[in-house]
Amino acid sequence: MNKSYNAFKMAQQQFDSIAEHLSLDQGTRSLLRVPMREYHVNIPVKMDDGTVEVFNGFRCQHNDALGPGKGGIRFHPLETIDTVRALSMWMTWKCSVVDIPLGGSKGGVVCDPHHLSTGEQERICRGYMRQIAGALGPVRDVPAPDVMTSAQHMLWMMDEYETITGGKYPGVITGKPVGLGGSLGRTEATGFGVVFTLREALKELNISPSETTASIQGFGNVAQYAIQLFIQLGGTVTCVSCWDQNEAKSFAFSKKDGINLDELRSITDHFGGIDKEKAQDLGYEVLPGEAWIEQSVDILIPAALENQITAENVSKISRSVKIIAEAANGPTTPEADQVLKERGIFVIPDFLANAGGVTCSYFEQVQNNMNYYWEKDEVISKLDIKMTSAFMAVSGLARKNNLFMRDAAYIISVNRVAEACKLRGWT
Amino acid sequence: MKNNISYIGIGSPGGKGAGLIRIQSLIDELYPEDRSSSINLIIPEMTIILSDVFGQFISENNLSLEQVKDKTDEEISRLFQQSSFPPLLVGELRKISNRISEPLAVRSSSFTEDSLNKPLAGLFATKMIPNNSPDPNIRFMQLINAVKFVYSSTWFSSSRDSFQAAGFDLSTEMMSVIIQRVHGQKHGQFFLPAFSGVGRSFNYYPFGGSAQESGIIELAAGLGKTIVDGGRKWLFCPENPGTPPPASMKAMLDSGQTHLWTIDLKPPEKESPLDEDEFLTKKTIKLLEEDEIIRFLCSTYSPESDRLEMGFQKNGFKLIDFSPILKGGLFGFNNCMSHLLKDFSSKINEEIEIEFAVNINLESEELDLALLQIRPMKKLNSAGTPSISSIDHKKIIVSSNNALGNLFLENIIDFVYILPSVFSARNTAEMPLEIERINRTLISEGRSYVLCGFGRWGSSDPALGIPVKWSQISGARVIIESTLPDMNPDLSQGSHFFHNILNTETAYLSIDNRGMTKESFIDFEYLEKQCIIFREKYFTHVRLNNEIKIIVDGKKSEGVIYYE
Repeated sequence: MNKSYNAFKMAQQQFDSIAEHLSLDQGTRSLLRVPMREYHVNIPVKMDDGTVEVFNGFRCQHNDALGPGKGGIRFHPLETIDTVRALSMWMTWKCSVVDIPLGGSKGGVVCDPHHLSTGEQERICRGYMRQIAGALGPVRDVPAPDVMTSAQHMLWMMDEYETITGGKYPGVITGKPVGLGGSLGRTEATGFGVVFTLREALKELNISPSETTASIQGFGNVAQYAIQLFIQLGGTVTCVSCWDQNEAKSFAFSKKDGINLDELRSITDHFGGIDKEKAQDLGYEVLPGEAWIEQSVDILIPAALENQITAENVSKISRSVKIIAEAANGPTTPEADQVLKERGIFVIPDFLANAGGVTCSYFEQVQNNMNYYWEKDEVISKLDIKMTSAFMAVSGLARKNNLFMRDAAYIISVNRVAEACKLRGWT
Repeated sequence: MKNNISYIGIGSPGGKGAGLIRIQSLIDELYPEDRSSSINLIIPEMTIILSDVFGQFISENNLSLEQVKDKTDEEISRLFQQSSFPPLLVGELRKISNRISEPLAVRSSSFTEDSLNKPLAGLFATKMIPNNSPDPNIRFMQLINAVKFVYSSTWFSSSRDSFQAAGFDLSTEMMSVIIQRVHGQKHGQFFLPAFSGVGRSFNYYPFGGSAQESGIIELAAGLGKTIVDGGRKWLFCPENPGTPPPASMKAMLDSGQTHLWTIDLKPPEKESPLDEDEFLTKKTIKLLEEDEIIRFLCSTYSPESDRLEMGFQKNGFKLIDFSPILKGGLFGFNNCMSHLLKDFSSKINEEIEIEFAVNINLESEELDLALLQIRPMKKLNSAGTPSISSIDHKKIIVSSNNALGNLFLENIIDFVYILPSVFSARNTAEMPLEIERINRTLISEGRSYVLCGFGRWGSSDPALGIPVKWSQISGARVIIESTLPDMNPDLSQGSHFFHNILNTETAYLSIDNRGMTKESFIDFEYLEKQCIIFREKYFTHVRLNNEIKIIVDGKKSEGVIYYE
């Protein structure tokens, strides 16, 4: 991770610019520039070898004016409080832009699940929940899976929460397994949501999906479902990149006539790492990880981590690229964003493009509250309508006021949150 | 005309969909200006889910024909209900549910079903849904369940049997689905058009001096299901709309429409997504007496004069004969239908069949005529058929002077019949399952057969005949209907399966046993001497020692089955 990059500073810069545009009063600006609450915890965990390690964890609740906080819990060795702060702020904007009644939160534990046994991971989850349970709850703040956390991690946390509180609260966490309070369609939701917005962008730009090619950074859950739906839409994915755990660096896998998703899935580990040798045998050209951004394609989909399109590499983006759909959180730095604006590339901003996950989490909560579970078709169709409506609101404002898509999305979402704060009498 | 057709996905619109698109262009071409008549021609707003979506649905849910071959229709339907709709398109269905809160017809539109040379009309499901819940989620679930039900009907056992019998490959069938606003009006808790109908540009049953070329029209009050199911309807020739089909007054009154089909707008007591008629209710014709619509649709019988008086009178039996519209010439309906049949037929250069539904606007005194389907009829060709008079009478097994078709068939040796001694009008409802099993066996062996029974084949009323569906007898190349003292209705002349019979070139022989004349008989004695393959509770299957031949002379309406 680039040491000079500070996600929180970037999130604040973005907010400041929109606050200026909206002429927000100083009180509202001061409130929304920082999280309302932060929790820092140290989690003692007995390791398999009998030793005890202490892991640092965080939970930031940026703003809950629109409803209970919502945001994932990340397990990452390079996790920082500033990253978590930024992500909690982005969650506020994300929930707001798709118009769901939730606020923004985020959590993280500094750890590397690749080097932890299942038992150790379970103990981290339960330990984290023991420390933070008082600040969470179905009507306060609702976590979900995120980078390197899964439905299993969520289930351990939910179980610990229920043990502590002595009740059944499936709505305390989303992203649970189906059958244990989870929602059908949740696994696919983020990736599908990206493509729902991409589909609308293609319509707006009058581009036929079947004539488009895409290069994608990442091959995790979001990327895989985005690829699946993009191919169903008629598009061709010619390049994907992913992290190689053994070599501790990323590689890109390119095939001019289009990758075969099932084929690549069959040679991918559960962290989304593609087996290099097997890929070569299947006819893929293996390139350095950064090559994903240089491909002569119509669409780029960054679907890995933040800070991936930067001032340093933005010039490598091919002239053929017309759309960037940000499936990851914060993949583009403000400097790079400026270049994209100047080049007239249509950017579907992260907190709109990848809002499918949180939208489906909201659906999961609704189902938990009713204790009545929907068919997958019902979930996906509602997701489509939510994502499409949000896209149309943002693109409509962008067209009307000749704004960059990201600015239009921020204006809509910040305005909604600021209004809620005002109506509550906070500002 | 405003274009009311939209699409979901890519691929073919199917036979019915293509027909509706054709109607749209025909109307634009033939009647470019709004004609100042009291009839508004419309195509109800619809969305066609194109054929590739079916393929996508099948592949994404890992469904296969092999997987369902031993499953019942209900199990197949359940399997489809549990499957997910393609994610890129499911939102489009929700948009429909969010926007429309009035009844919808979810109609199959198979490429095979309604094409000229692909004769499987009425094989696949159509489901009507009330779609009137204030909750869009309930409307959405009703809609998507109905689409999946129509999809599942593609693989029902009747489809598999019929495709095999017709020599088509079912695995290539990609079903399109039409979601269309139901053309109708609210009558309390029920939704229905004033009347529905089927018009044909060529008439194989001319009566009242009308020319075959002037066509024929069937009408029934309420939803068109009455006609499709072979229920009681009114027939007329556009050339002489005031002339009823030949029948005595008593027969006419006895055969008049007494019930009609409606969509029930009240939520059902029990959800039955696997039932095609889940939301349909059969009501008596009295439903229409609650408002003024009835006065356009009936005559009233006067016992004193033994005559029918046009229109609605408070006292007296009402016969649904549409006389104010047909005899009285109201709205110019007959004239309009006559033109449509002639104009469309001449433009397409083929004989055609049109399905339609009509709403009557009481305030403006206008008709809204919705065109729901168009498909070509097949005209029979008599060239090369041997002369019946040249056949040795001793070798004739079956003779009819009321035969439908125009053909010469050979190489049939299987004959399935029911003996007069085992037939009972009380047990007709049990017979379809028995004949269905026999039909399936013979189809699987690749054998065509002659089928002989009493009463009207395919009647929806078990008291009038054996209530089979076409798919249950689809392997028969010759169908014989006859009468007995306790099964003595006016014979159907194949009207319940008219389109199937025409398009599969199935011979249909009606034999009125009441006379048992030289020209009209069945030689059961001869049949009983043949090799009996098996005898079930009702039906006997024999394999004939000699191949039989079948001649039907369409011009003379004569048909014989004989051996040489």
